[in-house]
Amino acid sequence: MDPQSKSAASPPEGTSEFDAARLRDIPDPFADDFEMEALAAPTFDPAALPSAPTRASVRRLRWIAAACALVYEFAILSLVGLRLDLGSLSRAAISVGLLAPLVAAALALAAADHAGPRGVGAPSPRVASFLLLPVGLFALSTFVSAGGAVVLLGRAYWVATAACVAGTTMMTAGPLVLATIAFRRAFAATAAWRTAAIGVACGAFAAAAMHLHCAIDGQLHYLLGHGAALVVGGLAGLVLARFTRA
Amino acid sequence: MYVHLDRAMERYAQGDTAAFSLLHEGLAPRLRAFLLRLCGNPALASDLAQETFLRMHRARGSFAEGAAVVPWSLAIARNAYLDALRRSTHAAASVPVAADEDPDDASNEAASLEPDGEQLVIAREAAQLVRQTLAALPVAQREAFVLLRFEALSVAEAAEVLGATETAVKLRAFRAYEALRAVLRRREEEAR
Repeated sequence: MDPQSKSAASPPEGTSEFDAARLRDIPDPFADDFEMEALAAPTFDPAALPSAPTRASVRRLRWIAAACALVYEFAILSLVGLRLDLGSLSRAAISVGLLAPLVAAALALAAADHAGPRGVGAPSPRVASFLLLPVGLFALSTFVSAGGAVVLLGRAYWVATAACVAGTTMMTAGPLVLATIAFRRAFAATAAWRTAAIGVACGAFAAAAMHLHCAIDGQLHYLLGHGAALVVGGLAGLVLARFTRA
Repeated sequence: MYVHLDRAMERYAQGDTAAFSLLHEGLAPRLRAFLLRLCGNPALASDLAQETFLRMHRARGSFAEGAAVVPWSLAIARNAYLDALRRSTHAAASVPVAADEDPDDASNEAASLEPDGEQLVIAREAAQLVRQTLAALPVAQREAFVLLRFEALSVAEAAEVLGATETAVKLRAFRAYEALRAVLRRREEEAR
């Protein structure tokens, strides 16, 4: 190595003129150890390995989890009942109220499933920024799905909104637990953000289900009462990443 | 470059247990080397390599179709290392310096050797300095540097393994390179 030569791996910014070949200036400090290790390479007996799901069984498990999540939402809806004004709502309000969160859920799932060109994982900042899409879509959709009713922001309103936050959180919890099982050890890289994306998807799914139950009108209620599930799901996903990391 | 390993992993993900031997044979030395460069402890590196294979086995169903097994396995090895680092105290899991490889000892040894032996000792001393400096680097810089310098991954591949952007990987590797270079430069100046 020439100590006087200009440090050339890259400029201080470390980006535009980065030349990985110059890193070879640095000698390998473990060259000797590898020679020694090669002599004593441990063996691994495949017969001693515990059973592990194959790709086909993982796919099957994910479909079962999705079906169970659907059953879970319908079970909750059957318990709490459908909204009474369902028949009188405009088709646009119903379809936007249902479709927008479902599209948001699909986008969030796509973010979680995006594994990059080599199947390892997309960079965390990319997954995180991609998550703004479903959240933004949901927020925008509330302009259409929420009616133009004037709402009095009294105590009853906030109690009802808090009840919706609790309801959508409960509706998020089931699918998120199922998804965590279905995606167990699935992410080699970017596990935290990809699991957060799954949480956002479950929250959006719950928001769609809540739209079939909750008859309280107003954009603020939709955003807080129903949309909170996306945030709660995302945060829960960050915590559950320890189970989805390979 | 590692198409045969990708195919073996593909078969293994589909349930062909026999493909595991191929994977182990092809990946074990590389994973051990990667882990050794990260943790600096041969015994720990071997344990973590075994754990990596166990994790790969458990995660085989999630191996994406058409994915590359080398970066995938390196990412899992990195997870195993980071978990070990969290479990233990930082001092225990980071790169230790073997007592018998103190750079000062190597310098004294060099004084009593023939030219060839002297070169060897100088090289060992440099390696030891690199090892120490590498150990003192933040993990994020160390892993980026190790992947680019010793694992010969492209910046894009390293970025996928680390779940970071390419810019972040270049910056981390550059900082590590600068730190290592500064130490080596200082040693050469002292030697004159």
